[in-house]
Amino acid sequence: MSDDAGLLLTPSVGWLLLGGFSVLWIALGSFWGRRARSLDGFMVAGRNVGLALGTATAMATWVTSNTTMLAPQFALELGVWGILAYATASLGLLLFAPLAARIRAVMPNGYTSAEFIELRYGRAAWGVFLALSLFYALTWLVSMGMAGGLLIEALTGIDYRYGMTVILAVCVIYTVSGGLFAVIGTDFIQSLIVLVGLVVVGVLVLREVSVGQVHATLAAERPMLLHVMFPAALLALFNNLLFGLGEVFHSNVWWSRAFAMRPGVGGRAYALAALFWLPVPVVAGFLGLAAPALGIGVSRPDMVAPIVAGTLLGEAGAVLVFVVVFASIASSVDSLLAATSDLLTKEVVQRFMIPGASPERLRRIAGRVIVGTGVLAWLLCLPKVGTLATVLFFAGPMVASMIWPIVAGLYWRRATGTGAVAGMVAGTAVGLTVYVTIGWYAASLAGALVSALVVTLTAWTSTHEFSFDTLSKGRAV
Amino acid sequence: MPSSKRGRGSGSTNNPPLRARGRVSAGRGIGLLLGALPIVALAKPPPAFEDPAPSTSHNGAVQVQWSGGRGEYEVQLRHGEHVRSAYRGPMASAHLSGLVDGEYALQVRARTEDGGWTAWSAPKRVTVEHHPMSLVWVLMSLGLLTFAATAVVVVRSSTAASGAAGAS
Repeated sequence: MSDDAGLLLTPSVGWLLLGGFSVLWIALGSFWGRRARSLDGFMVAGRNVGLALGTATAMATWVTSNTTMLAPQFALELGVWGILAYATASLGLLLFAPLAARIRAVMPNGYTSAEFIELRYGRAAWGVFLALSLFYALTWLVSMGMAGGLLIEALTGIDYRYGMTVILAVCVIYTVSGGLFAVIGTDFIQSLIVLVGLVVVGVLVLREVSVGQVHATLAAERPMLLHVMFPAALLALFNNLLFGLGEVFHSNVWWSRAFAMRPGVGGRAYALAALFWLPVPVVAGFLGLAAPALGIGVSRPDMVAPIVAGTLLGEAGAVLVFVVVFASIASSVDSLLAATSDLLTKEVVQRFMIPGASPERLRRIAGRVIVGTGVLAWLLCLPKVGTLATVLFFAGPMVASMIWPIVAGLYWRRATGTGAVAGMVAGTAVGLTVYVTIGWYAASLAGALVSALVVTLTAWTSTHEFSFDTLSKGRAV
Repeated sequence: MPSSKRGRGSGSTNNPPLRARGRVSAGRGIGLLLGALPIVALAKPPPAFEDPAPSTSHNGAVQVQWSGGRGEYEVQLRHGEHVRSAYRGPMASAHLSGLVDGEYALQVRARTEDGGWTAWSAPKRVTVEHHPMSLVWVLMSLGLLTFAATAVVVVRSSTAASGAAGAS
């Protein structure tokens, strides 16, 4: 067999699916987003999101195209340990559950994670945090735009640039029209599609190839994938865990949801989302491990899941994969567009460009910022640089270095701005050095460790005590 | 996986494509020497690796790309005495993983228009050298320590904060 899954759907079927789901997401986004007239409605969905929608949006956003396409890549490159390493990312959501409750309690009127950093640590920390956070948001966005284009090209033969453009454009359109209301509403449907679709694909694959066959082939051809002492995979275990923690703890994608959920909902919603998310990378990862046993040649590791499903399950399988991955990509791209737009609108436009802008004007500006962010992501997606993993994990040390400034800032009175800045800068520098010298699978670990040491030491030696009441008063003080 | 020695066209340098032969024989009146020239000119050259220089992998995975667009290709992997087909597909790239420590040689060939194969390309040498376990234990211990510390701080602090909020 070969990886000619692209022949399973004709370009005309591909365009039909693309067009149909584009119309569906835009219509649903516009329907759910009709309440997003005010700035609070647009940015934080009226701060009244309940448990069911809160859980669904957290889970759907965390599924992302990276889970459905990168978890199989982890499995193919790092074996059984790779699947477990990817699954540890659920701990990011689980540990964010208490943070979400804390965030909602100390900043009842907050909008962004950067706002917290400035109020807690001052302007210097805010600058470093904003730069790292925006860089990460863009790499995540670009990795997903790339995933969409690659998937559509592999399954249908539609040029990478066209598929990637349509996916980004659709998400921009409905996020502009409905803000976080539209994002959360579509996330609910998208999370259902992803869960049901993955279960169906998993069951169908298991009917074609047994676990015993997979094991036998891997043992003969790729023995390290089953080896308990696989060095790179063992390194990836804690690296991915800390990367996931850093992603969730710092990103405005998660903070905006914490602000959007009703008081008392955030903790439970994030904990439930973590549990629902946990099996997703395991099922997706199995597709990667099954490829060698099925005799499927893999040309790019990040395309292994659609290739396996498409080759095994024929046209129906290819359609299923198309729908699942399109839903998972859209559920994350829209969240990122909304959260990044919030950051730029509140932290850059309102702070430096139009300080006296009314909420209505900011609401309109936020829409334009979403369009601008989408265009920038599109430009960065065009060259198709590297695999999904290399694009995403380059940001690993940066996000991991923000774990401890966030945690200490939320709970420790003696955590300092100097410590937060030094922690983020030193963690990023050391992590990137490790990225180059050892590999991506140790970079986040190094970044988190160095940052933790710096933040803890500076807090320990500090005598100044912060008053958390300052946070509830917001930037007005 | 089937051995690389199976299949049509193995060693195609010695067996030129049939269509090329036909064209040669159609050239009546042309001497044997002249007739041989088109055979050489029409024989499809094997693909060439884009990065033919020897490389080292520390995670047992190798990504290779070669010249040519969409077509049909086969990659052969040699490890000591063991030779196997490691990829067959239409794309001009292949991904291999799960390799144990050792020296490997990769070669690629392409399907010709008459259904045969080109000759194997020049080999690309890859050395797989996994990270030492001493490095792994150190980094894993540090990772466990960092994660455990984070989890303890979050859980204990949030419990304390909830208790304080309840009391107030």
